[in-house]
Amino acid sequence: MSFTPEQIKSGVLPYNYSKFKMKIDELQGVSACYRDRNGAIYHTYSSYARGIDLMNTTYNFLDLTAKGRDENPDSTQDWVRYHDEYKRRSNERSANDD
Amino acid sequence: MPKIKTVRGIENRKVVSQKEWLAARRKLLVKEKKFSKLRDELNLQRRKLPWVKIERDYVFDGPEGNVTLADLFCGKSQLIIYHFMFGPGWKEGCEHCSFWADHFDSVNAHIGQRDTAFVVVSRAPLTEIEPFKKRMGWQFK
Repeated sequence: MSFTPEQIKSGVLPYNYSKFKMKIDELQGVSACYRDRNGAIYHTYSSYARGIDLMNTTYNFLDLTAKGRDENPDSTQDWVRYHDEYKRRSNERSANDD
Repeated sequence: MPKIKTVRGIENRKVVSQKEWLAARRKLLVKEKKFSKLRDELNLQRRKLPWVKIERDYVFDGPEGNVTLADLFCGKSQLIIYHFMFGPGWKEGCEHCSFWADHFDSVNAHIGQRDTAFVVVSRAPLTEIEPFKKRMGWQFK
């Protein structure tokens, strides 16, 4: 999902079927389509925001634990890094401890 | 990102006997079963949503050149498209989308067996996407 420069300038974006106040030019989402035997294509579903939680296996695993997702309520994914950065960060941390 | 309320920490949990735990677990199981039924019902309603015919000819720049929306189905009748936030000129894709994308390859191996193709689309040119995709080790298209 992406937005026009005019929409970004206004600071109010149409997202998740309502209006979302943020000044960025795109947001994540998922869509499903169906193609019939004659080749006609139909849009059957789209989802955004918490609607794509279902696609995140890590969350589904963590939901089975006592601490759960255990995220900062004011900034839920502040712990998330690129997967190749977790190790580097923990190495840096232990190097600093020495 | 929208605010999500989750329970933080593990404060104030009671430690009980196995018997008491089993009783509490069974009580929750009733709720879980109710939720599963509700989710089945919701999934059914999702499947029953009306469709909108796509009249526009979308063309994507794929690893093997230009492809149409129809090509993305790879001979299957269903297609799931994830919009990955990676704009032109960004050095890296969105960190949160990358978190999501780390799960895609394992799922992709199975949904292909269920008449469903899966692709990820972004606005950045492929030349900017490919080095990042390689770094992340992702196989999906």
